[in-house]
Amino acid sequence: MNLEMNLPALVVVFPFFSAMLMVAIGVFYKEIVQIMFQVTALITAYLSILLFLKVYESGPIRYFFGNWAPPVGIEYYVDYTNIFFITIITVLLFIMSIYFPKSVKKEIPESKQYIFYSVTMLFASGLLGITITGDLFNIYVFTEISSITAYALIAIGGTKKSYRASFNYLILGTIGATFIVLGIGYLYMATGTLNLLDMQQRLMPMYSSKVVIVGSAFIVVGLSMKMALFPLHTWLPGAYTHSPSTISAFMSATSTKVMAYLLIRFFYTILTPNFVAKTIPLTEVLFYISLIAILAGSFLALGQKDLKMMFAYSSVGQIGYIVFGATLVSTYGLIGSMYHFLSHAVVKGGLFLVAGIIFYFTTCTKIENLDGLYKRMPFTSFAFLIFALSMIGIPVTSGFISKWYLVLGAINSGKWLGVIVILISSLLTAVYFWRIVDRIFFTNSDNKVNRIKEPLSMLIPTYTLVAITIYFGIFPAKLVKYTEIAANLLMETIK
Amino acid sequence: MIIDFLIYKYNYLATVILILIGLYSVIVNGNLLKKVIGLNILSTSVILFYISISKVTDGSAPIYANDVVRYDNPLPHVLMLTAIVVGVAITAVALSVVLKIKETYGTIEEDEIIKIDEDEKDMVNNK
Repeated sequence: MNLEMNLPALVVVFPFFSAMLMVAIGVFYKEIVQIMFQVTALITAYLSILLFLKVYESGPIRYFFGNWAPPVGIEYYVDYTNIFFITIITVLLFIMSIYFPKSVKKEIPESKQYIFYSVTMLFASGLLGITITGDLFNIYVFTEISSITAYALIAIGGTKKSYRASFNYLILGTIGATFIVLGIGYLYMATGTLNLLDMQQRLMPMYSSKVVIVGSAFIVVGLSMKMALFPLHTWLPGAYTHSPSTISAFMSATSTKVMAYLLIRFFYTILTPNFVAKTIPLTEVLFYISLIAILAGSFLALGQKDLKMMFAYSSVGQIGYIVFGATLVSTYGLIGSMYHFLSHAVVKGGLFLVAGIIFYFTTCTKIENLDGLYKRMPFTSFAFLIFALSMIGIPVTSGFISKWYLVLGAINSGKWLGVIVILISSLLTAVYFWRIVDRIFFTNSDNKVNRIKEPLSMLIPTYTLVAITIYFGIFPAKLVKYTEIAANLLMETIK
Repeated sequence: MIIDFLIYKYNYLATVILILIGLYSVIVNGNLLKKVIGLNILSTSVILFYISISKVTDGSAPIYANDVVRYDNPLPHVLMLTAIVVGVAITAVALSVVLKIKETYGTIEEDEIIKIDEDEKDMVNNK
């Protein structure tokens, strides 16, 4: 088998089959599964980095399954944009897989652990499939794979609230996916193809067609539900709060953002900027919605009493940033959007890992219990501080660079309202994070101080993420250049 | 003109009505099981929609036969096989979650569940 040639397929198929194998082996040898999980995560990350280097050197790859050319066969399409997302997902999965065993042993009943690992891997491979595929119906199928596993992973928390959160997500997620598949049906009706690039070509003369407009409206609404854009976000806080810590970390880092990636792909590859910006003002509408999302997420996060709940509402705001960048229809906006994807995935994932460490020792993430945490867990508190600074957008962290490019994009497109909203929301973020930093570092608690030793297997992943956010805050040049190539390629579809 | 639409495009009308029934029952019903049934109606309506767009005038079902000249477009049929499987999977997961909710809350009526949650919150606050 030629590894080099089949990389695009392997990145998805390898974790998928490994997940199946984990169940089969887990029935007999439960202890091995955890190591299998980590090894799979490592190999997948390695494969995706190989693919990244290959795409970086030789440009976009079109991989035909079974050598059937596109209109008939299924295609995996790897370009600068989605290999960027894939690498982030797999590398984050590997970093977090070091963290998994400790936390899972605490939170999941022992008989279910091997299934938990397997379903997590299935979830990851679903996300990878969504990002890599070049076929619209495949996107729907992989969306459902990742969603169904997500419902199960939330419910595995085993508390009353996690069942309710899972059910809420299931209802809204399924309605969203049904809208997506309905929209795909409309586009198929108009063009007779499901291949992304083929559809782009065939849609161009049809931009005034009502069928195309209705189809894209359905897809945009469905994606907005799936990515928890503000008025449709109601499933997200419960889902992130009541799921196991490791899952809230991985899900918050990837799942909604993959849907935001799909929106970018839909706007720029399938429909081309010409259509979404000029024929019908899709980007104009989403621009204002994303502004409302940014503000609403920040305001809602202000009033939360639970750490995880606060992170979840802040995620609602941060999704707004990514959509905001995507709707500017400019290279800078897209750079900001993609950079923010990386920055937020690392930072929010890291914050949930911190919440997981706190939960591991205190079995509670209520904010009022965090008083004087600095004396008990200095390392965890310090990691929290760095992540908080990155969320606010202080220089030397990756959060600053992403907000910088978003603001540049807004100024270039003459949308000053966006600049103002980003500034206000940064201030709000500072307020709600500083509330906690203040409690952790400057409030003395009445409880007697017991220094807790955090296990290394939890600290190493957390600090790797700290290192990543600082590295990309100090040396952004290479990554910005890379995302610029990707963004230019996306924008090129204007002809 | 409306009569023409009803006669020739009644399948699309049925799709729209089914989607609305599905959405209505998901949103309005307090019973979680009825919500799941509503979801099922919603996803079935999409299947009807896809099968409608694959229809070719005088076309036969896309299965090979000797005396057939024209076939319907087979692709949507194949896609809908997948969609049916996905629908079954979602129903299965939904029902098992409903079962777990029944076990922990003792009811599957949404207003009662919300009441139980709020009572618990009050208990915690009064402590």
